[in-house]
Amino acid sequence: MTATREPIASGDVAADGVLPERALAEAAVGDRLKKAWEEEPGLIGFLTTVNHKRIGRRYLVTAAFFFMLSGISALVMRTQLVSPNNDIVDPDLYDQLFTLHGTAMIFFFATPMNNGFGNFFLPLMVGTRDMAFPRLNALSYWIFLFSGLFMFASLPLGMAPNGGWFAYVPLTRRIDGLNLDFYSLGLLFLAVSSTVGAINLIVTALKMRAPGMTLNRVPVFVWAVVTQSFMLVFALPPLDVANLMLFLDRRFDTRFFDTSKGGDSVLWQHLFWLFGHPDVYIIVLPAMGIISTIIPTFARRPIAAYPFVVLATVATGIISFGVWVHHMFAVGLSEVSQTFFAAATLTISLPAGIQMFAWIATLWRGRVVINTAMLYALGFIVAFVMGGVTGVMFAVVTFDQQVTDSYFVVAHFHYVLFGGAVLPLLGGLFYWWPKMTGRMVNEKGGIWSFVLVFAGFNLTFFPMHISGLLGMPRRIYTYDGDYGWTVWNALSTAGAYLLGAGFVVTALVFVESLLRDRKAPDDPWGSNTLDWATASPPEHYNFPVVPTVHSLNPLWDGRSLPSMAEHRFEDQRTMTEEHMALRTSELDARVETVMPMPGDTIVPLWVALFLTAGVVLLLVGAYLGAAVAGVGVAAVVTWWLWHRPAVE
Amino acid sequence: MYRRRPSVRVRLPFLLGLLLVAATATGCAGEAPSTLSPSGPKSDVAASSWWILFGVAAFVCVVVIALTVLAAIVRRRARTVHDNDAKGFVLTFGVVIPALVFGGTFVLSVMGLQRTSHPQTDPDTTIQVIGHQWWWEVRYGDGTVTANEIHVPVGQPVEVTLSSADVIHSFWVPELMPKMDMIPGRVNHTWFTADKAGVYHGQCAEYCGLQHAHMGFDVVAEPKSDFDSWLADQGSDAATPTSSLASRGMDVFTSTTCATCHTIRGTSADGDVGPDLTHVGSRARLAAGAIPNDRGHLAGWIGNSQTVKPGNRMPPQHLSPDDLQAVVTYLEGLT
Amino acid sequence: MSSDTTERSVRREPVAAPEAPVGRSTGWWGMALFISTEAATFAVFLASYFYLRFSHTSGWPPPSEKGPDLVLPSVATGVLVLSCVPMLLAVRTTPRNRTAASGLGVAGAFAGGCAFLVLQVLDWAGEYPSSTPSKDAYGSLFYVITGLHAAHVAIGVGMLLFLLASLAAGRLGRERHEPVNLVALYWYFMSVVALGVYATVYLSPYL
Repeated sequence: MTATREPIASGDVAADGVLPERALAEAAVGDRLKKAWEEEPGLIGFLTTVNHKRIGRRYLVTAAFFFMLSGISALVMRTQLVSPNNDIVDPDLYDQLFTLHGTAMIFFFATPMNNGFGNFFLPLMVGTRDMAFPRLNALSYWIFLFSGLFMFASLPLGMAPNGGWFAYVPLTRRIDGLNLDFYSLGLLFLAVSSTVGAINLIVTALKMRAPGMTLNRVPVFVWAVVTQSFMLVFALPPLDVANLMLFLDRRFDTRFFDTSKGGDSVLWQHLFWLFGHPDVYIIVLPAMGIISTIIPTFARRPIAAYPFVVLATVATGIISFGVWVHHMFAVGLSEVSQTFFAAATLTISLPAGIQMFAWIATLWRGRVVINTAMLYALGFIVAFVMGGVTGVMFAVVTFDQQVTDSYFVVAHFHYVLFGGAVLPLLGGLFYWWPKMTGRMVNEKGGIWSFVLVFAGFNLTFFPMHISGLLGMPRRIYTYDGDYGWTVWNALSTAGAYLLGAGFVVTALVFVESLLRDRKAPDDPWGSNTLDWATASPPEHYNFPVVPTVHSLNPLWDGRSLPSMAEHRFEDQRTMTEEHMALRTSELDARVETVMPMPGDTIVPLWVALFLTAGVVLLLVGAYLGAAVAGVGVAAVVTWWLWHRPAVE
Repeated sequence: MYRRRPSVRVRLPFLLGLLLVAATATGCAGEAPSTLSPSGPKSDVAASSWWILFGVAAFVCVVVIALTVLAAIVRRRARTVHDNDAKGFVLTFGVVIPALVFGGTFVLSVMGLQRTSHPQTDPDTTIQVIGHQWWWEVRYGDGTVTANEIHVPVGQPVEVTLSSADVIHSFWVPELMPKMDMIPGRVNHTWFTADKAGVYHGQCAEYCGLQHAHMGFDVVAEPKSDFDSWLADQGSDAATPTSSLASRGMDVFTSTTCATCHTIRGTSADGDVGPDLTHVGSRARLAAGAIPNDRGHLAGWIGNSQTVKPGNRMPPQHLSPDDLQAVVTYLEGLT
Repeated sequence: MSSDTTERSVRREPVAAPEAPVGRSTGWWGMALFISTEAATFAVFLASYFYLRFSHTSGWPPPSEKGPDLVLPSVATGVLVLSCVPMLLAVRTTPRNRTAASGLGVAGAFAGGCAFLVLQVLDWAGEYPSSTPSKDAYGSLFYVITGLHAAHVAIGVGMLLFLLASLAAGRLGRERHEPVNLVALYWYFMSVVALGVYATVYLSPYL
């Protein structure tokens, strides 16, 4: 194996920072490509872009915005709970806050943030110029934005969803007002974006990989994003069916969940958790993919046991569909079913263990470099193992029945979700910041960010294990001082404020980076994946020449990167005539054809606007108006499809 | 690229572990309805499962965290890296050892289910608990009806059937039994035994709306003879008022809206929207555990219960101060 | 240069001409995945049907309902499934530039789809008001499942209209025929779902 390139010392700025192979390629075809991939400037460009990098950035920024709103909700909740019988908020507002916190974190932050990285980096990592369906990509972003605004608009109106993020019937069937209609319609609307986005990512990874990138040379992050996308394709339907049934029950008096008329409340739980359990892996798998990207880079070696890591990722995705009843152990189902699902739940922990020890092996047999991104990765391992072991405990049914619906489970899932998703996402931000923005971050600030966030996170959520074991139920807006829960709540609240401070510092670190001019070279970390063989930030066309991939570590194997220079006079690899991208075969990444890619267009925005109108009209009960909006959607889509590039 | 030693991360988990042990020890001593101070066989099973699981979990965490932190601190020279190295290590530590641990966990789970599925002797007492937003309807096998306070004989298993009149609630008395949901249209069967006499706090454990936080109840475990006389008392009709004030209270109660929602057996009040008040004076707390049962709190509750449990189904009662005092006197006498 | 097989085959292969691309298109995969997610949606609905049916001990259909009429749905399902044949004709003839045959095929599928929708509406009219969506879960399931399927067929009919317009405008033929393949995939899927809905909602109450 050839020597890896050394990462630059932080604060250093490379002379011009361009990889020599890329410089050669740009010299040959850069000017023509810049012309072919020219973007409209200003507001028009903003509204019409189909550039996966700009859309990816938008996903990240918008998701971060919803994270902030959702985090503030949590801070208010923690302030309310700092002492017993507090009256900072009334129960109605508290119920809306805890519902929005959960719903927004899961649907409007975690998966979209993953999607943001997937959008930006999956095409780069597989060596192509755009996503398979660029206009659909724009559409899925606009729908995400509008559905999030729709959901959050309910809060200032005092009608935010208030049935908890898993919205059990019959409670949610009966609550008067628009709260739960915001919920079901908002999630149905978002599901369009999530489904379309997932399909886009899968097809890009299947059909647009650089020649030579056979399946066993696909980076772990790409495997993780594709697995998650397949999971979305199959996990969203139960949720959509449940939300549709809820909406119909509430508005049209159908009886899906009305036990007195042949329906069943438990049906909701089955449908919801059929989605809900895969969803937690949908959130965690791409984040683990980010860890599998950061750790090899800063351990200066390829990931250990790559085939096992890939198998573990895919296996987790598949098995996750078979464990959902472990969320229902207190419902009173049969012992046979409880036993089966306890066994299945234990099985799914095995792949996670494989990944964990693969990372540890990578660290042990490497040469570790500590910086902010690596600290976040290490922090993730600590937090995720703690969250994971409490998760295993839930497979002991009798114990589960004690601590489910208590603060113990709140502690568990925050350790696996915050530890398992937020920490890697922050690490990913620090890791990929130079590539996305072309700037370096102040490392000292980054370390502070990590220390405050990690300390705040542990201080907030660790005490919850204890208050849960001491009998404190979840989703209560206040509690009695006689039960010994007070001190643990006070500690959690202190932790929440520390965590909040950590996020403020993190934001400041990034803002400072944007204000300074610490230019980033192509490859500041000496990484191994193709995304670093581009400019920082990448040109619109990503790669001037599509390279041939010879191994899992194209930037370290001494053959893949040089191929960029070698192919620089081949039309098929440079494609300078118009917006073009290479289509390759699914398994072996053999060249199939050259595809023209669509350019900027306003049409996706129109579709999103008509859909939003339709959703709002459904919310207020103007069903005829909603039908008209639907016709509008059909008309714009027809226009969209009529004007496709001549292709195939 | 050496950065400062991540010592915070090394010490933190150990500190947290110590904290956890210390805390649960305090939990045992205090007033907490703690899952770790079990007073019945089912909670015993859950608590002992916890300690086993905690031991294994703590060990795993320490090992993994130590390995990680050490790998980060100990600088190693780059070795020749073979593709797909460390497979053996990953298989052993990531599959084989966890599989053994999970096998043990599964056995623990199955054993726990077996030991908690049926009591050792047949229960003599059957209690039907029906959840409402936000109070507990309690019905004994002999027809006795009460609310929010459940008495059981010490040392004897009690059968409980659980259902709901409106939305999903969950019956949870951590010291006596793991929770079980109460689902409208469905009857769940469970049981528990209270090994020691005492008052055990229970709370609804499934979000059920605005006052989920104030849906508590007490389980009072007492010697069989005390239980039998309590049950007999509760089953009897309401005490007749012994003073003219109390008499006036009864008149006010039965002739106003009170009677449309509440039942007092032996009077004409037969509403079934709210809790049965036939023996309300005997209860330690009111409003599903929200407030103590004394004159001041009872008067405040009747006058405007919305200040205690905003959103609950009982509207403020506009009684004259004299009428209010009369009603309070009457109800306090219903022991 | 290296003797890596991949590189050699890359250099040897001509730039694929649009007339003869090898392999599946991105559009094919997009449609296949879309169908997968819709298939999962219908599967969940049908599973919910059986879940609700078997979670109650009272008979099915419930005492206040009669079993569904079988004549109209059988004809409708049969017509829809048969309309896959003209669809297949269109798929085969478009790449060979036989536009007339292709148009006939698409029109045939279109007619089949419209006939299905008309028959479905008639079926609903016959069941209403003895069975309604709000009467009980049985009614909710009946109308919503068949309604969802009908909505999907209506969208398919819209797609076929689009194809007809494309054919008329001369935009489909040897150089470009992928849209026909994609719509065909969707159309076959509609028949598969129709069979599932038929078996579940119409036949199974009698079994």
